[in-house]
Amino acid sequence: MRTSFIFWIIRKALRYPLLSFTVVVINFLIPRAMPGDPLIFVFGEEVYAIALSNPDLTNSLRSKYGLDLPIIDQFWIYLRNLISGDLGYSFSYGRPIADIIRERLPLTLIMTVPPMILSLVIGTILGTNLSWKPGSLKRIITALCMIVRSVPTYWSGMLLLLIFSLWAKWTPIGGAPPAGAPLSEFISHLALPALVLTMYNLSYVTIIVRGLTVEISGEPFITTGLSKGLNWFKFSSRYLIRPSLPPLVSLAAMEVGFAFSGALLVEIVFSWPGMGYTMWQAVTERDYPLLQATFTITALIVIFANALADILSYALDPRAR
Amino acid sequence: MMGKLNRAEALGISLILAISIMTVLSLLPEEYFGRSSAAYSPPSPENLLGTDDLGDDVLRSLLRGSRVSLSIGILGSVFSTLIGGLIGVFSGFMGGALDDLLSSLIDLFMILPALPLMIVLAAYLGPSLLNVIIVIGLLWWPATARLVRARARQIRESPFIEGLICLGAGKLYIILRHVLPNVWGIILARFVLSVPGAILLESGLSFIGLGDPRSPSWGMMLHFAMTRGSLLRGAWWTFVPPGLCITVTSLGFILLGMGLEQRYKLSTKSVEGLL
Amino acid sequence: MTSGELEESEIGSQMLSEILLEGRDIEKRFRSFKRSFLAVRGASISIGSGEIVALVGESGSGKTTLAKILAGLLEPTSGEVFFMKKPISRMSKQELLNFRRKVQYIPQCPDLALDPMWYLYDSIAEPLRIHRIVNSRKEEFKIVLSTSSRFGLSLDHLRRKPRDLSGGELQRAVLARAMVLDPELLIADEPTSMLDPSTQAKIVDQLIEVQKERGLAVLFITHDLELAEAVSDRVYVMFSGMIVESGGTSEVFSSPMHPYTRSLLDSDPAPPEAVVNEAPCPFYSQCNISIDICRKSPPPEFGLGKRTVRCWAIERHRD
Repeated sequence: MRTSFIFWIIRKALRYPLLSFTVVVINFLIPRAMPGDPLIFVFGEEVYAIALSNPDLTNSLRSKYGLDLPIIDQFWIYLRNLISGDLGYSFSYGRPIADIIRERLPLTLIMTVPPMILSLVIGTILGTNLSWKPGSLKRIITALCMIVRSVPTYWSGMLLLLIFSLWAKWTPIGGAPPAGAPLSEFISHLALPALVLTMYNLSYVTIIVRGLTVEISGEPFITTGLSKGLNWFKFSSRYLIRPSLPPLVSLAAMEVGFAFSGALLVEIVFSWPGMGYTMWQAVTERDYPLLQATFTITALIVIFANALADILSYALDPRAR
Repeated sequence: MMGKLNRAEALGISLILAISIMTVLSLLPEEYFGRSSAAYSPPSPENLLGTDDLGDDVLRSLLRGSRVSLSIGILGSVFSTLIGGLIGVFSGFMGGALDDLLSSLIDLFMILPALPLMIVLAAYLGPSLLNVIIVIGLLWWPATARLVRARARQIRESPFIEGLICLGAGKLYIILRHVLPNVWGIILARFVLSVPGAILLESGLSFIGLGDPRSPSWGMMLHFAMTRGSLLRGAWWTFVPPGLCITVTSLGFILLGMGLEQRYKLSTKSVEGLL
Repeated sequence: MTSGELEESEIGSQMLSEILLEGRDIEKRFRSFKRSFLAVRGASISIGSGEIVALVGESGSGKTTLAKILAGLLEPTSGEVFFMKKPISRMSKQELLNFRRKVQYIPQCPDLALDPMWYLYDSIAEPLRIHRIVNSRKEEFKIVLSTSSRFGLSLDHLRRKPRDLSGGELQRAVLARAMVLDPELLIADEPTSMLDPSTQAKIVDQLIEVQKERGLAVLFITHDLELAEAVSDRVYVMFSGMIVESGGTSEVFSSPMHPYTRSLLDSDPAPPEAVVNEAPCPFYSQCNISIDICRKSPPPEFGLGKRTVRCWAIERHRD
C-alpha cells in the first residue's frame, strides 16, 4: 500500500480521538491559565470567598485537590477522574456533578432529538420537492428560511411562550414534568420548544437538500418522467434521496452540534432543566466546575456524533473509496 | 465599483439603513425619547414602546442598544473575517504541511459547538465588550477560512500563478499582490454574512448574562426581560422590539451578503456557510 | 558510440557558442493515491544560445511536462537541469533569480496566463518591478510601451484587462511580458495552437523576428510538424515521455530514423497513440521492426554524428 494512503487513513482515524483529547486538555488548561488563583475555579466564587477567610482550610483544600502538584500530575489526576466518571463536585447544587449530568442529559436529548428527526424528514421532503417545482413557491420558502435563520431562537421561544402559555393558556409556562408523568404532559411541555427547534433546523435542512438535489432535478429525464405521471414518491427516493444520503448524514451531524448550541438557549426560556439550563445556572452562580464539566460532556457528545456521521457517510458513499 | 444593485442587495441595504437610522437617533440627547415613569407600563404616547421593569423607556434602551449590538456585530465580524481570511489564504495557497495543519484546525473549530465554548471562554474572561468581540472573533472564523481556502487553492492551480513563479516572484509577493485581490470578493461577502452570526452570538451571550452590563445591547434587554419577570408579566413590549431589531438587522445583512455573492458570482453554496 | 551529448566541436556553426539550458536524464513520475504515471523518462535535451530548437510530439507525449521541468516549474523525479552549466536545484537565491530572468516560459493557454484582475500594462511591467530593473515610472513606461508595440499592442490594449482581449492579443501580451526582461532563452509551449491560423502565422513571424534581432534561443514546443520544420534548426521528437530521436531539422525530416518519427512523417492517417504503460520501449506495441531485446530493456541513446536515436533495432542494424 502507498505510504500516502496509510497516512491518510491514520489521519482520519486519529482525528476524532485527537479532537476529544484537545477538548479535554483545553478544558483543563483554561482555568489554570487564567490570572488568579486556580482554586477559585475549582470551588466557584462563593465558596472561595468563604475559604479565603480561613487560610489553613484553603491550604489543606489546595493540597487535597492537588493544586500544589506540578501541572502534569494534576493533568493525570484530572484525566483519571474523568475516565472513571468523577466529574467533580458542584458547589451551587451541593451534589456530585456526575449525578447532575446524568439527570439532565436525557432531558436535553428528549428536547433535541425529536426536532432533529422531524426536521430531517420534513426538510428532505420539502427540499426535494422544491428542487423541481418552479417559481413562486420556491421563493416564498427560501425567504421564509432566511427569516427563520435571522430570528434568534430564544426570542421566538419567548414570543410563543407569551402567546400560547400566558395568553391562551394552552401550554404550561415551563419546566419539565417529573419522570413518571404521562406522555401528554411531556408533549404539552415540549410542544413549544420543539416547535422552535424544528423550525430552526428545518430552515437549514431544506435549503441544503434543495442545493443537493437541484442539479439532478434539472435533468431532462426527470421532467419527462414526471410529465408521464411517474410516481413521485418512489422516484424521488431512488434518484434524489439515495445519492444525497452521505451529505445528509453529515448534515445530521452538524445538527447535533446546533442542537446543543441552539437548544441551550431555548432550555433557558422554557426552564427546561437540561444541559443548557444547567450551564446557564453554572454561569449565573459562577460554579466553574459545573460549567467545565457540562461543557466537556457536551463537546464530547458532539464530537462523537460527528465521528459517527463520518463513518456512516463513508459506508454509504461508494465514491469515497 | 458599485454599479447597479441587484434586488437582494437593495433590500438588504434598505434594512440596514433603517437600523442605522436608529443608531444615529440614539446619539441625540436623551430627553427626546420618553422619560422614566412607572414600571411595566404599556406603550403610550409618552413612552412609545412602554417601560421596562425599572421604569426606563423601552424605546430609549432600544436605540442605545442598537449602537452596542451593531458595533459588536461589525467589530466581531471584522475580527473573525480577518483571522479566517488570513488562515484561509495561507492554508489554501501554500498547501503542504501548513495546509494540513491549518485544515485540521479549521475542522476542529467547526465541530466544536460554538455557543458552549463561547460561554466557557466568556465566563472565564469576564463580561466586557472587548471580551465578547474577542470570543466571537476566535470562534467564528472557520466558515470564512474554509471558503477562502477553497478559493485560494483554485487560484493556486491557475496557470497565471505559474507564470508569476517563472518571472521570479516570491510566494509572499504572489499572495499579497495576486491572491488577495482575487480573493477579495469572497472576503467581503463573508464579512457581511458574518455580521448576523456575530450579532446573534452576542445576543445569545448577553441573554445568558455574559454580556457587558454597562453597555446593554438588545440581547441584554432580552436577558432582563427574561430574568426580571417582564415576560411572566406579559409585558411584551419589553422584549418584542429588541428581538425584532435583531431579526431585521440580521436579515438585512444576510440579504446584502447574498446580493454581494450574486454580484461576484460566487457559488450559492455559501448559504451553508452561513453557519 | 556514447550517449547523445552534443559535442561542440562537431557542430562547428557559430550559433552554438555555448549551451544555455540542458536537461540530463530527466525523469518525472506523477504519484497520486493509487496510481502513478511516468510522464517523462530518461530525456536529455539541450539548447544552445541563439538557436531555435523544436520539441515535437503528439499531445500526451510529455512535452509540456518536460518543458516545465526545464523552466524550473516542476521538479524532476530524477535527473538534473543545468543552466549555464549550473544545476538549478543547487542554485542560490541570487542565481535562481538570474535564471528566472534569463529563461522565460510561455504557457499554452493565453487566457489564464495573466492575472484577470490586473491591467495589461501592469502585467507586462511586472517583471521589471520584480527584478527591480527600472528606477522610475518613466523608464518603465518606455520599456513596456516599446516592447508591447513591438508585438502589436497599443496603449489602448494596455489599458484593458485580460477578459477584454482576444486570444491573439493575449498571446502577444504574454510574449511581450516575457520579452520585457530581454531574456536569453524562451520556452514557448504550443504558442499558437490555441489561435486561429491567420493569427498563428503572425505570432510565429513576430517570434522569429525578435529571435533574429536579439539572438534569442527558443525552445519551440509543438505538435505541428510543418511549423517545426519551418522554423527550427534542431528538433527533438518525443513519444510517451521518451525522446526517441533528435538532430538537425532538415536531416531528421528528410530521413527519419526512428520508426515513430517515420510514421509521424508519413502522411499516415492514424498517428500512433501515446501509450500509457511502462514498457521499456513505449513504442514496442506498435513497432514493426522490434526485436527481442526491445521488450526487456529500455533503449539507450545512440549517437550518429549530430543525430541521436533511441532504438535497439536501429543500433543492431547499424552494427
